[in-house]
Amino acid sequence: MDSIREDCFSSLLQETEECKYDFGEINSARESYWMDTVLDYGVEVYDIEDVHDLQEKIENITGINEKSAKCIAISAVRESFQLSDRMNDAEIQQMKLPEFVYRM
Amino acid sequence: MIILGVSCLYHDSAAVLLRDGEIVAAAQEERFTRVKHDWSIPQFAIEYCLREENISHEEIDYVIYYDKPLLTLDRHIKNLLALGKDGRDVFERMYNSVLRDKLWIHEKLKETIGSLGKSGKLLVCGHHMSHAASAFYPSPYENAVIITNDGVGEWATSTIAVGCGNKIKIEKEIHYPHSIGLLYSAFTYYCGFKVNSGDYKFMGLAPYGEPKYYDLIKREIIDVKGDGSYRLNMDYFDYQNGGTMIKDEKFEQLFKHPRRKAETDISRFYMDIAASVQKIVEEVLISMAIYAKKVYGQGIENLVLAGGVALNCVANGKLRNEEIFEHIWVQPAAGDAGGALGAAEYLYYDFLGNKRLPQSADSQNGSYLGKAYHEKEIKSYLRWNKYPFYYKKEEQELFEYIAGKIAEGKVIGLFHGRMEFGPRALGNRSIIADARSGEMQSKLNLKIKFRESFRPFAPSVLRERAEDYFESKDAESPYMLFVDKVRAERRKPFQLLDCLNEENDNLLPVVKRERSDIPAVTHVDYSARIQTVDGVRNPFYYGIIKAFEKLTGYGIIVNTSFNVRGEPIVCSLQEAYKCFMRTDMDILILEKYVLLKEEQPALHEEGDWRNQYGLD
Repeated sequence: MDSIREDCFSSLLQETEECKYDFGEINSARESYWMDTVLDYGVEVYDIEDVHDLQEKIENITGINEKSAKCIAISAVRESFQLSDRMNDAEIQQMKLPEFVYRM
Repeated sequence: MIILGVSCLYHDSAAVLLRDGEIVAAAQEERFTRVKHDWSIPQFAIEYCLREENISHEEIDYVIYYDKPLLTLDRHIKNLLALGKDGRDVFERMYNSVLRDKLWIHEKLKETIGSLGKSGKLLVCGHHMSHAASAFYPSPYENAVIITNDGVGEWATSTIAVGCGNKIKIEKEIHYPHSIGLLYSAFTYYCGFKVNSGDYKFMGLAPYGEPKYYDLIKREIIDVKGDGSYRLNMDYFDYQNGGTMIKDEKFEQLFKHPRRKAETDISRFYMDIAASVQKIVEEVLISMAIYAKKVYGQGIENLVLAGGVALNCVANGKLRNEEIFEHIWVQPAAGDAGGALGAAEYLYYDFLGNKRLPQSADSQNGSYLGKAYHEKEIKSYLRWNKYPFYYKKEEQELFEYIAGKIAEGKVIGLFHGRMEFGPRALGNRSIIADARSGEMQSKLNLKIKFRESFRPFAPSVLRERAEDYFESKDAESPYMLFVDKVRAERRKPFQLLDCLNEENDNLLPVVKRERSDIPAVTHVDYSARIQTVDGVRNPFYYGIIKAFEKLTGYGIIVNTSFNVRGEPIVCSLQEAYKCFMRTDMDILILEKYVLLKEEQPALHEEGDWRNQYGLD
């Protein structure tokens, strides 16, 4: 487990203490489990401009805090770089990534 | 207007090309890579689609993906938030699949295709909207109630929607982790079959059993409401924890039987489990349809289905027999492959507002949407390799020749026209044989397909003769997506329980007992997964069966996919020839070229070719 990945997990773990999610259990008293559709399943443009853009999108869609969203965004960007040879280390260094990427 | 639809990174990757709303090409990646259920970026399927229409990537107007990656990420994160410190496995799964792959789908597709259409931006469409669209837009109906059920998309696992003209609106949904698709997969896994590829086996096993565990499963594992909505008791499952499908110890405790080990004998217990789960799935689907008709279907007599659960043709058959709706149409590529089609069509009709004119049959073109080979290519291939062949110039002569050989008991590989889109072979990449033969089911299973002896085979029947063999009235099933019962007067007395005792593990004697005058396609409960064949969708295949009827009086033959166990259906001439030579098939038909096994040179291969494909 590398440090970025570990930080990402730790950050999300802290989140679970503040924002526990519930899958919902069997409830025999309920008449129905159908939910009205509130999510937007329609067509939209998909793009990620940079790590900040991704962080903002993650925050908006998941509702998790800034620190966790930032951590996930950085991890995702790093993974995408590592999996492609399109950018070299120097280019990654030049990107304005949040401070704690380098801290890790 | 050119639209490229893509599905990938879950399972069954595919690409679909629309030209002005018409489906001009569609293919699954597995056919090219030879990896069953291949989930990777469908580079070969995309390449094929563009080549089929002779266009470059620069001519594509829009590229659309069938899923919303950020919503999928949201689901993974909420899953983690539900688990807290126990969520390490879920985190790893999210990290490896979403952060590494799914979030970067736009870059991966751009790299593969060369561009993302004229706008330069990838479009995405919701997973279940893609399924719903794949069911509604190609259907022959102006309006329809749409039901989708699969394992999981972003969040949704089941939805009810309404389609009208060129618009679709999703009204209701059920969210992960509660999923009828994952419940089915969980029990498939418990019974020792692989998730996805084993679902068909699990369905085929159900008629051997009795639904003895129906009440227990409903009491302990799933709560089904009268409107078809449901929730699972997650104490029994492990997929939400990032683990395997089920908690083995909980299942063992409840059913007093361990999870069956793959490839071991199948006892009555697992047959009864399969029957019980099948009954629950049928109950859920029928209840959903009744509810959807009542709430959203006033004045609508059409139901369309998609999502992987819609490939459960036994449930589809039961649903049709209930006559809740007058008409039912099921997307032939109901699983994720069809999502590529749905996303593209949703964009064209709903988002871009193009007018939709439903066609009287449907606009799926028989699902013959893949690659075809020209006669010149085939001739060159055969001559280059020095494979002996005959050429039958006249089609009618060829039909009569094939019919005669089928009647002699020969097994024939049929490679003709465009490859099918979806999991079923519908006469263009098929192995065909005589349905009247009592030995044919065992022969095909053990010597041709190299698969389990209990698995049933499907019939292809002339559309106008279907009622002569099966119970349903005027029931069309061109895509082999409905099960029907063999007519009573054709049945032979057969008591399944006479052949099976409590711990009988050998299903072969059961399979060999003739159950009708078309035994090769009659399952142990007298059911059959029928394909009706008409002269419009596939005149070549129709001609063969018609010639067989003229010769024998039977307008029905066996149709199984042209492959062996674990292998994707053959795509190229080379794969067809190899499959022909590796198995006990007698004759290979490549368009109008006829190859006889006994005349072919021995096939020399290094090692055991069976190791090439993992067991499914």
